[in-house]
Amino acid sequence: MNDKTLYKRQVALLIFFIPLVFKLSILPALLANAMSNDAWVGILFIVVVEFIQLAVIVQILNIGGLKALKEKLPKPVYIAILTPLLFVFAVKSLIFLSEMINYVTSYLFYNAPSSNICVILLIAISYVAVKGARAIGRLGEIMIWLVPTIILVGFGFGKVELQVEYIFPIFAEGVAPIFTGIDKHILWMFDFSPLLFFTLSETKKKRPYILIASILSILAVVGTYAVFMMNYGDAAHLIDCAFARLAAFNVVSTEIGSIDWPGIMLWLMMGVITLATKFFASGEILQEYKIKNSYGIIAMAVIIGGVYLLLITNIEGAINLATSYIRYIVIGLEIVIPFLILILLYVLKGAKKLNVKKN
Amino acid sequence: MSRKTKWGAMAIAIIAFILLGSAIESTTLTNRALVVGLAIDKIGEELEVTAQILVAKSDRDPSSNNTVISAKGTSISGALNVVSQQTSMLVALSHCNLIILSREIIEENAYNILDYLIRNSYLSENALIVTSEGKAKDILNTKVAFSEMTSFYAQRTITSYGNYKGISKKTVKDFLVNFHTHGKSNWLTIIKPIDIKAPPDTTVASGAEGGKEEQQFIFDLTSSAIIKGNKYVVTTDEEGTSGINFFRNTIDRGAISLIGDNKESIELYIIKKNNKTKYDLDTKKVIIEIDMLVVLKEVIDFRGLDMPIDKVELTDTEKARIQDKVKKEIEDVFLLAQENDVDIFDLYGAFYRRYGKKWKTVAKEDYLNDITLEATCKIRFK
Repeated sequence: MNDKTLYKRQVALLIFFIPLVFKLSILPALLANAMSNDAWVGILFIVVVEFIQLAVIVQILNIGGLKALKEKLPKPVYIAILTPLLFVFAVKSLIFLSEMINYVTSYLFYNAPSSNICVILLIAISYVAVKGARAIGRLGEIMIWLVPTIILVGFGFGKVELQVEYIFPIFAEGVAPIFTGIDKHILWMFDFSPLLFFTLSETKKKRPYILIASILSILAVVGTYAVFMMNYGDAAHLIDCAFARLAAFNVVSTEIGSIDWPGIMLWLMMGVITLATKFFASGEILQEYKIKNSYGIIAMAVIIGGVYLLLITNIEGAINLATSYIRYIVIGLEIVIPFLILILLYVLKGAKKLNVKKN
Repeated sequence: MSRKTKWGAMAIAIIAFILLGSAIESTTLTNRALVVGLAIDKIGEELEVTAQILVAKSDRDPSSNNTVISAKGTSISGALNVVSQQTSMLVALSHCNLIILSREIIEENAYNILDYLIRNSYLSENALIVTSEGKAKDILNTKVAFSEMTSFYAQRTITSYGNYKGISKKTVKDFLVNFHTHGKSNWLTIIKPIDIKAPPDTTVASGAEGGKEEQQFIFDLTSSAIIKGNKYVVTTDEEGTSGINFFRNTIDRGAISLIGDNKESIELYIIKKNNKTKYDLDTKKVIIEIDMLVVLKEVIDFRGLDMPIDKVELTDTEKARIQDKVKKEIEDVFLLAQENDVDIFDLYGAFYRRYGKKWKTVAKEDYLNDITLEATCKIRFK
């Protein structure tokens, strides 16, 4: 197995984690602000559409992935197709990194300077990215055990205090707020394109890992939003770090203190893994420019860290960037490029067959 | 990557972790002032913040002392900084599970004052909030009978018996959620110290100043202060608190007492309770049907008749009396809230969740006056 290859179960875990991480931090509050109690319906729509992008990417991986494309296309064309993704990964990494820094400096250590946290996180993310697919896949396999741990801790010590009626009425104000909300926060969607840069290991056993992970991921995201709304009602727009808040399970106890630590660990590690996939993919693109993968990743980290520290500086700056017109360019590229690759693969495959027949 | 480069990069990363990580405050347990209870009073234009602090004897000795200290400031965080300076320890709110707001605070600024605590990620959103009739500070200084620490005793009582029919439980999160309903209505448990060594029915509203050794207190937690937005509106007694709990379906157990047809003392215990609420848009009527499963726990018949409890059944008039009692508790607290224009049951939200925009078109500004509430109660015996 080379450093790009992932087992199907590892890809499935990434598919489970990727939509879960940054849709469950600050986005629930932003969507609640835009869509009110319909936020959980809005996110259902978002994740279902998002998985169309995933279907395209999985199909690309199944028919040979970027390796096949590289073989069939002239190198300059191949590089021209992939290079815009560098911009996509950089902008998204910048925003998601800001969320992680905000999480650490507002929820865990609010006296900690964000510049230090920024550098520490970038070192961890870059390290995982440099180590490559094996480290990313393995981390996912380790972290997944925190999910049942959180559920067990929740059942063991937590209290369910949900007001189911808070998720109603549905569409009371029409569908306009939902689409306005999606439009404004579209940058938090379509995160699967780094998977293009991995290759799937070939196995004889055909197990539906990816399908199961996709269904579980949709259920987990939508379920968490519904629980979030049932917990906070009309105050949901004030609650950032949604996942960590929910992982406290309404416990009032001085004896055992807070029980949110498995949730904190899981969210932070999921964040590191997700950003590491973007850094890894950026390193792969830069490699096409004869820049060594690890140097490419370090360059990416330095640029993102520099832009964060000099221009963005806090979560408000990141939200302003994410909701600016730049979002249309980022999402446009993120949707168009995988479709373009898939079409090219099919067209070139067809052309190759024709050539074989002519010969 | 060569081995030298790898080790070099690793060394740089470790040094960076250590240097940058050292900027994050890491204070040892002995240098932390672990706040377990916080009381907030208003003195003129300033706030007086009183903290009950758990002090570890040493890192090796997990046993602890507790002390109560007050500081003034124009803000909560400002006053807490003064506490840090006075104690020479860093104030930590992570274990604070009880916040007491004085009546003066909730008279005008209940939510404004709580805003800092709500947004403070170190304070658990599951911390309990209560209010006092007198100074909040005096509650923390009260010498309670069943614990070394006032905060633990109050927290334990409310957590164990909160929603136990006559006591309600309100956390920071609950307060925040209720504040953001249409009616912005809230209620807080009023904490009243009672001297158990004094003659019966002696309530000490302002607590025990200095905590005299011969005095020992317990807390009466049965009455509630009703708040609208930022302002205190009215106080309910135990029946009112019970009515709120019955309506909001937060009672999972609790006792009901009644006097029987022949003057017997009868005690029932609630095992299970279900609510069914109907909202009629046309008549703006709310009908709440309560279904309770109870067990007959005790009957004291002063006539001296031999009546084993397993062979006793309540008469129809006795059953009706219990049902009327529950009905009255709910309807009375609703009327009290209605008179004071407080939508205590968030009926605006309840109608909106069922009827959406239709409700918005029919609801006037004084919608609460148009709503009628009818409660029914059905009792089943185990």
